[in-house]
Amino acid sequence: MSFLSVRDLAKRFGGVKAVAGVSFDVEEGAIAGLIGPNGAGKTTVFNLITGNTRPDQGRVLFNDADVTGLRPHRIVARGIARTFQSIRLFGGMSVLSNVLVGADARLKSGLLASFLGTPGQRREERRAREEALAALELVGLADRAALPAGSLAHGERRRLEIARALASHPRLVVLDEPAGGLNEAETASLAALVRRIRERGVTVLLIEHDMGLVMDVCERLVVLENGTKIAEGTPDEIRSDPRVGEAYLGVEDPACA
Amino acid sequence: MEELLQQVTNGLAIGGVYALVALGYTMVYGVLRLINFAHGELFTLGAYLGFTFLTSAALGPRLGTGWGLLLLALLVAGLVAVSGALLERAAYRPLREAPRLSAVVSALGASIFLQNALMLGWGARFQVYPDEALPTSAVTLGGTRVPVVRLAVILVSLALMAALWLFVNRTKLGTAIRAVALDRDAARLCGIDVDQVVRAVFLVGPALGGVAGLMVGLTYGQIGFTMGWSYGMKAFTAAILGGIGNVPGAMLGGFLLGLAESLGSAYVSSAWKDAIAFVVLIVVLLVRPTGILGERVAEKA
Repeated sequence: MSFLSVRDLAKRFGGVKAVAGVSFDVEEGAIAGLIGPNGAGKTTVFNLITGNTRPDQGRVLFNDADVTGLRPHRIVARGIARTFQSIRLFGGMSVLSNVLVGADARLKSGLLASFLGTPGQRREERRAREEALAALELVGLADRAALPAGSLAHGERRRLEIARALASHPRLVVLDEPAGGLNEAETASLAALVRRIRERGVTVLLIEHDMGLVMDVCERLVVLENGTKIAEGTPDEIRSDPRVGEAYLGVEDPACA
Repeated sequence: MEELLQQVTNGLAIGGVYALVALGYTMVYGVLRLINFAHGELFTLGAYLGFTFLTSAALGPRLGTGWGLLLLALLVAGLVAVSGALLERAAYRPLREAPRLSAVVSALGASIFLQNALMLGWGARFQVYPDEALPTSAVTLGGTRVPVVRLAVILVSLALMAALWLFVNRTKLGTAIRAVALDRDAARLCGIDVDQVVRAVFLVGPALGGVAGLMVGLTYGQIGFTMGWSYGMKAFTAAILGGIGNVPGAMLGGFLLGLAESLGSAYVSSAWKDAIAFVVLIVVLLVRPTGILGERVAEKA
């Protein structure tokens, strides 16, 4: 069985079929991409995987367990963390606190221990702090830890979102348009960061418009159009697939894609 | 000068009470965007529980003095906290996804229900704390005699606020509370159990409010089942004054309101004591509609 297996997912909003029976698999340790024109249903698929939205039909299997329709914090606890297309940081909080929010699902101590400040709970918080700093180190924001998150530049915010997702110790991290609004140099360093994340044993699934980035880092791609999967394969296979060119540009010449 | 010192300590004591109660309003508003109108009744419950413990033959003599008072405060805080959690479960959780107005009506209903329950439980007439439980000693401070109980109220409320500040800013649960207050959906998707955060807020806020009720009983002696309404209204005003949803704002608002009230009634007119609170509120809101420390409108990417 696959690491992440999406089976026949469907979701409609009012009369609109956002996702209509999409299935694909992601192998452990892979860097996979989900691409497609605007409105193809990519973000909806992400929301269905991460528990933000419940599917009308279909299943999400992760790591040999059915996680369909679990509440988001349960899914994070199972090992799937995400970032957002429109960056959603806690602006008034420090950079470090933002990462600690990501670590929350992993910390075990309950309400009572938190109120009483038991030694075990204190130890846990100290460790969470150290690991949060390590996550900031990984994304290159260690020197910004004490600043308010709202004061970061756009590219830094994108990387902080990734650090926050990594703080939950995910086995799969789901990145929603991580290169959105980044310049060329920032996109290149993002590609390097995605590879570093994978080297640490974390599987990566990303949605992206930046074809350069997708073709560069992803090993497998799934192409959506109008809520259905129209192609799947390696970047080279996708590049030479005529249906993909059509979906993107409405022309039949894939060389234009 | 003597008069001024009296009024200032008085204002700080009552302000500390307002601040403790205001924290309950502001924390619940922060995570749920809901005004918990029943919070004033939880404050009253604290006062009545204190009364019951102090008048009970078995416990009264042990709890009425020194360390006993600390134990009494813990007992009251714990029981009121549990009541707060039950209130959330019964009156607010089922309406979490309902239109905002439904929860507001439920809050008003819970307030009326609790007020009547208090009346049925302890009677409609005023109750008076036993004399021996009311500390009467005073210390001389800058040439004036200030009752010890007044100083104790100021110190206890400051200590509780310091503890709350550490809790909110230094613990993982506190971090989770702040995150939910800033963006509930994003917090949920980052792995925070929002139900647990709401539960925590409905334990901490009522615990502080219950202790405030106990302190009012110990200071003034006389308590009644409707006292939660007037104190709750003032504390709610204090929360708005400081910026609703903002924890330091509730503390600041409480002390400012207490001082304004006590100085105003001394130097302007005691008949206008209650109006002064609202004059201050209106003036501040005209200048700063979000309250003194109110959150700026959240940045959207």
